[in-house]
Amino acid sequence: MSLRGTTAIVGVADIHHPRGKAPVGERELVLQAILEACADAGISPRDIDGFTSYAGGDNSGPVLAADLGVRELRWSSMVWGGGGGGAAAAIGAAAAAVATGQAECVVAFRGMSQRETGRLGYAKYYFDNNYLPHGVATPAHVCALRTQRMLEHDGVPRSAMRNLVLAAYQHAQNNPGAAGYGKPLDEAGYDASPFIVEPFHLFDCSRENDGAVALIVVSAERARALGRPAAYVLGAAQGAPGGYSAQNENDEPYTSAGFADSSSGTGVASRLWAQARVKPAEVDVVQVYENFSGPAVASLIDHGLCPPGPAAAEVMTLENLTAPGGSLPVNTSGGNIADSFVNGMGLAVEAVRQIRGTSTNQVDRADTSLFIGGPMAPLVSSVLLGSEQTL
Amino acid sequence: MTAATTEILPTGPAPDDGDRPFWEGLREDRLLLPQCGACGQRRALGRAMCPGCWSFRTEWSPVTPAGTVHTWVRSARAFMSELDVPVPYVTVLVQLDDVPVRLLGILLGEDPRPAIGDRVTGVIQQPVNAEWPVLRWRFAGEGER
Ligand SMILES: [Zn+2]
Repeated sequence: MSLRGTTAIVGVADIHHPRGKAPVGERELVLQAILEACADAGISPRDIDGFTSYAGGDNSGPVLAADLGVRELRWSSMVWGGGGGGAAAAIGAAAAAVATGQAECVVAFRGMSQRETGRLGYAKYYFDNNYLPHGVATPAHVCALRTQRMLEHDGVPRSAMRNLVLAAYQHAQNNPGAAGYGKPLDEAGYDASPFIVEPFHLFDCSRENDGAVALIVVSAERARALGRPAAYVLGAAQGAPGGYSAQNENDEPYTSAGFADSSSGTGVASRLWAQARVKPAEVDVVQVYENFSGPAVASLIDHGLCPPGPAAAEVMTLENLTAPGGSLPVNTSGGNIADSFVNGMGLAVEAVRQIRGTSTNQVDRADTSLFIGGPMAPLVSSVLLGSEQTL
Repeated sequence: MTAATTEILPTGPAPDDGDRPFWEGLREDRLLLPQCGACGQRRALGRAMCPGCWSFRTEWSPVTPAGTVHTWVRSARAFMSELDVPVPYVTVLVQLDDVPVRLLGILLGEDPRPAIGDRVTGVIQQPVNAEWPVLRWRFAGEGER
């Protein structure tokens, strides 16, 4: 049994406000996003029968089902693993529920409101006394530790990180909704920005927003009946090499973003490609979760989209990374760094826009569109979307 | 180095007390790390059982606090107001010489500039605003200050 082509994303919504400035609470943000995604799909909110999410949050499936007045709740699941690592896995869980007939119309969502949950970038509560006495208190620190070794030991050049950031800013100049719109960034501006946690400059770090994102997953059959452009799920994978990122910095391979093959010979990335029957070189456009630029580069390496070590420089040029002409266009809305950040789920919406042909930085012909979820978390995930032609 | 804060620096055993011997070792100026009581396999702090043979028996034995820098970061901001070191500060992840275990710690010294592979020696310090001592590092060959 394979997931390939059995389900599709038919409706999306991406609502964001400056951090701490949402006019309503997180629950209302999530409900707004679900209603908007339903309208986008052309379905009634009453048709929803399942909910998936990740990274915690108080707005559970049963709560939202009651608010929406759904007829019956058939699926409700939260992805374990912390942070944005489970973002694509939430879509995968929705697809798995629909593909196996356990639910018919599942919404994958994430909402954030800093008035309720504080700043994710200073999420100190996540770290225990193996970390805090050493001043390692934020996601930036643990990602910086791995990134510094990727740069200094593995030999991945700084330019790989910098060009990922510059490409995001270049894309943001065409996206009026992006935080970086009208604020172009060049190499000198990047280099001059202060270090936050070295090796991360300010511009290597993601933004934070209030907002909510929702994506509606239905069967491929129903997607065709709705008669709108759908993004078919070609593959979805979650996991990590055993013990990755969960042993107080004692795991191998240390500079992987978590998608690499384990000792069993498979990993999140290789399982994704096998399931989708797509090779890395065949991917048309990539949205890669950049909590920080370095882990995003590691994610591209793990997925076979970029070679490891010094050779990364050849692929990670600004030209290659920029739509529409680049060979590896990434983060075409501006991504978490230059567009907005609702725990990374906005990237999934952009991956759908590319399949629909509605991105502000549309690639010429996007038949395969990859969304890579949060890297360097104890559980990571990615999902590959395809057009009708790929089925 | 003086504490710039009266806030308490988080230190000490985990809520389940599973790593209490490590912290009590620091109070006796020793680095004690866990080892499987059945098969002898070393493991990182924070794991409830031996991942090699699934025994829950744990022994704690002394390890020489010396090793090489596996990676490092320099924090340019005061992410923790309770931290008793000035900003910027450097945190190193140290690959121990004697056992296949890595440990974090702040690298002491005046604006230290580490490189991966540098040799470092552990220093057990008692911050004035912490309940328990902490393990920190200095470049090998640099004297106690
Ligand atoms: Zn054992």
